[in-house]
Amino acid sequence: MTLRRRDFLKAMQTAAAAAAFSPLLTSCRGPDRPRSRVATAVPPPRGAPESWVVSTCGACPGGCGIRARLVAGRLVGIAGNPLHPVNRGGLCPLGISGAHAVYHPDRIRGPLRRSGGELRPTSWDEALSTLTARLRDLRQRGLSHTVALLDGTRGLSRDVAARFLGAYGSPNHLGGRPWNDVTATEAMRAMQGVETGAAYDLENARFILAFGSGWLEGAWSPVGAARAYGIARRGRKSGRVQVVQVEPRLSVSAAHADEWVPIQPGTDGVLALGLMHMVLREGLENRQFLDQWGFGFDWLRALVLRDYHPDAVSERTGVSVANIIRLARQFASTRPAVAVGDDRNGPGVQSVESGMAIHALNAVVGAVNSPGGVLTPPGVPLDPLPAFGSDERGARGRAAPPLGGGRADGPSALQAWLEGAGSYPVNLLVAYGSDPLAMLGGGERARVALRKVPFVVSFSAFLDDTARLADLVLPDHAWLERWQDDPTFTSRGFPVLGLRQPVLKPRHDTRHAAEVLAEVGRGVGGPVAEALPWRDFQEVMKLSARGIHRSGRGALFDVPEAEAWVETMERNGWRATNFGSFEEFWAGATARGGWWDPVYDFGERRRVLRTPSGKIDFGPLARSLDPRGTRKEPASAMARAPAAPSGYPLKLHLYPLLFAFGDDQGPLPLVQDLLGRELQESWSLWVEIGQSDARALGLEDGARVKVESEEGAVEARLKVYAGVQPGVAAMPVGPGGAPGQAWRRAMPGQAAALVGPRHGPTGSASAAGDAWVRIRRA
Amino acid sequence: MNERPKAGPRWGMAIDLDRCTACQACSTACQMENNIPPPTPEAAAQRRAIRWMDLVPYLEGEFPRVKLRLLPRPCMHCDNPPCIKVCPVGATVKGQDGIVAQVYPRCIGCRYCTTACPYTVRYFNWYEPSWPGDLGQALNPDVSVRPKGVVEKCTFCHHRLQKARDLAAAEKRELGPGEYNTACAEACPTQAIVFGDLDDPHSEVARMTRSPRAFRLLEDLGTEPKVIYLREGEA
Repeated sequence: MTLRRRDFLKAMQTAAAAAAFSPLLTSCRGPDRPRSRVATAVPPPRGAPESWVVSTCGACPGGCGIRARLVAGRLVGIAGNPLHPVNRGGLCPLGISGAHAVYHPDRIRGPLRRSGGELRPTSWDEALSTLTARLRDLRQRGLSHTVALLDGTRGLSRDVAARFLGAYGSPNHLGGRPWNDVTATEAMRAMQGVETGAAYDLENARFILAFGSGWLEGAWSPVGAARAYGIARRGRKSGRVQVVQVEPRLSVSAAHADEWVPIQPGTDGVLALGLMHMVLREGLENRQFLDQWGFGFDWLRALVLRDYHPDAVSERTGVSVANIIRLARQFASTRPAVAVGDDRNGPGVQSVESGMAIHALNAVVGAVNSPGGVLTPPGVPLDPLPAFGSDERGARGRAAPPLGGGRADGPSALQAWLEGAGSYPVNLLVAYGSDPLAMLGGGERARVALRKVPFVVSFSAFLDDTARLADLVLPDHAWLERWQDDPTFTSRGFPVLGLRQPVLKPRHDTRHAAEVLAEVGRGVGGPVAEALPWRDFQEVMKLSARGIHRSGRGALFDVPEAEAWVETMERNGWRATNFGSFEEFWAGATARGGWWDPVYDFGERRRVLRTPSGKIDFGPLARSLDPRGTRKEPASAMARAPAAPSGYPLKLHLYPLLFAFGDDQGPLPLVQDLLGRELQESWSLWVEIGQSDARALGLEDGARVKVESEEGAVEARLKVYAGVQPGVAAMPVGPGGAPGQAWRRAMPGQAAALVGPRHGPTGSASAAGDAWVRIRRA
Repeated sequence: MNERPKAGPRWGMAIDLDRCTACQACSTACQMENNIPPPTPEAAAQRRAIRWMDLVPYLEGEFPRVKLRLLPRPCMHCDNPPCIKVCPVGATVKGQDGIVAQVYPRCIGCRYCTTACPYTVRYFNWYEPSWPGDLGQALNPDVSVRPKGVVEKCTFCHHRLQKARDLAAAEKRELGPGEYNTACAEACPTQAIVFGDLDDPHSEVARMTRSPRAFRLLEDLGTEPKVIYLREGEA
């Protein structure tokens, strides 16, 4: 038999095509052999034992379900858990690259202690005894209230910290998530008396009016919101949703909306009240709803009709009168419509006042606690942890005035306190799942403020900004290496408990932060030891999950088709649980990712409205618009345009970078590479201004510039962007980052330094909307 | 390659821009799945970063009438691919299932194909692939790491097809619908990306290609792309 040339070539081609996809190729690299730093970049052998572990993502508070792929003990991929109701198999860049968080070069390999100005490795025993001795000493001297803890954790980790501080005797359990995750939550608390925050039923809304920061970039659950968006656009029978985005800048969310309405930064609340004015004037409000559910609306109505005339609102917000009238009519006449005011991960462009105004706008058209409106998610029926005792020292410490008057934006409150606003010193600061220095922009000013604390402890798993400055570092596991509960809710208001189980064994000499805190508590002794008897976090999780099992409600995660079944059964008074004994429940919940209850009861008025009147209280909003209650004062601060300080002509607008608000896993190179792709900018901090402003300043695209405010200054690249209003300078804010690895040299976090600690009235976070800057060539 | 009678499916992708939120989960999922090294800032600045699935922005107009369009863009796996015609060494081939593949050991790095591709989806390896610290531990064992000096591109996660086929063969059955999916489509939070057999009239992807919103990129060039986009907005 002869082999013809043609056959030979054909065979070669087939062989080559097969070789192209074969892992064997790793062994036939060219003469340019990999250098030592890529020696690890060899995949595990093909055919090695492979397994998938179900868990819950910990990269941000969104609470998506994941499946992790392990080959030969190595974590080689993460995909979404199709059974998880929050994400149903989808995932965002942070979760997908979660394996990089585990193998991150900035991981801390063991406890560190500062000696001779340097952080040096130490043993766990020594590190813990140092901390315990300090805490015991402060408590004995009656200074327990000078211990502050910034908490960026969730679920029971947060409860453990609360118990620790409560028994120890400190009122300073501060919020330590990036930015002020307060706006919508505070508005709901003021007007409905609930703590849960808002669930926007985007899946069922026909008209979405989104205010402020991009809700597609950084919603309460980015993947959850994106999924709801996909369904509302093209995945339902009731037609395609209309989206109007009100924002100072053409963001990714604005680009996807049907209409972008540019607005002056920080005036979202004014526009909401202007729209309410038109709704009321044209008689388009839902009177029946307001009569039945509203309390104190007459006062608000009088104020809004008097002060928020479209002409005045247009002047203040920059939105044309015609647009105000049209949007008001569209919002009031499309059912169901919802105004989204949530920017809890955004950089605080909305004050609590704005949040209340937006919530009130929803209430005026009856979009509260109704399908397609703002829902109040019921909590997960967890068992509370057993009550704990106290002693006199603890009670005295707890009674001290909390630092910053209990402001929810912990890092900023702390900075303001340390810069002189405080009435007592902070002797010990604990960063617990939190990187306050990065959140404050990581600049010299914030650094100087934090250095005033004589002893800083960080629980970070990564050598982040705060850890670099700390006196003691007690590294936590990476999120894929630890147990954690993750109570959350879907956009339809269904309560969800995601369970995070360790996907792989801890790679370094790290310990679970909550377990360490409990151990320190036992070392301090007395009531603190009694409050924290647990040695194993999983034990705590099981203890609290017994409540779900006993309630007999809901079901373990299941395929989407099972949702209607569970809902129908429960609505008719049956149980639809797919578990028996508690052990079965626990095993099933760990294997499938968790539990949920796909029923929202629109009739639970008493659960949803916990105000004294049992109705939606418009009083707090009216009071803030008319503080003296005279009804004759000129319009409140919100309606008056703040004057630019001389020399700072541009209004600063900070916006969240796509999905990058999470601060739980250090900056990942792949994520860093995709930030700013929509502008073809990445890898450095940039500032955006419009063409006319750039011309006036004589600056060209790409110039190195210095951005200065009264609070601070940063260097950046100038980006001339047609999607920014004249008179506005827009800057991205992501997780901060000090110079470190090659690929994390310039994380765009420093822009926060321009805002300063935002000295606002208690509970307010309005000042971010009031920062002014100037730009000049560097 | 197309001498034998056509057997099996014709794989293609549909991307519904009305669902897409430009979150770039597709992009990251692709990079993790296919062992694409993260670029250094310098490489990114020189536009040498490798992103098989990239987000491409189109900005039009001046304030306030500005439109920003964001397009996730993989290889189009053209039925009439210009890249194959220019390759002097036959390193680029179209398989029977319509997937345009790159044969790395054959590639001489001349980059004719990167120039010929009107969609600019072919990437040259300017550097030795490297992962900072231990990040290389997370490499996918199913995909080879490409050496410096060769061109690479989206493979429609061909290794997943091989795996699915192997499994089906081992179980002595046909490859079922949904058994083979790309990493980008799997990760998409909004299900904007759908992958499947374009020749199966009942598949979701084929249904989407029949939508009045459907269009293909640079259709007039005659490349016959197998990635179909669905326009955003009402229709």
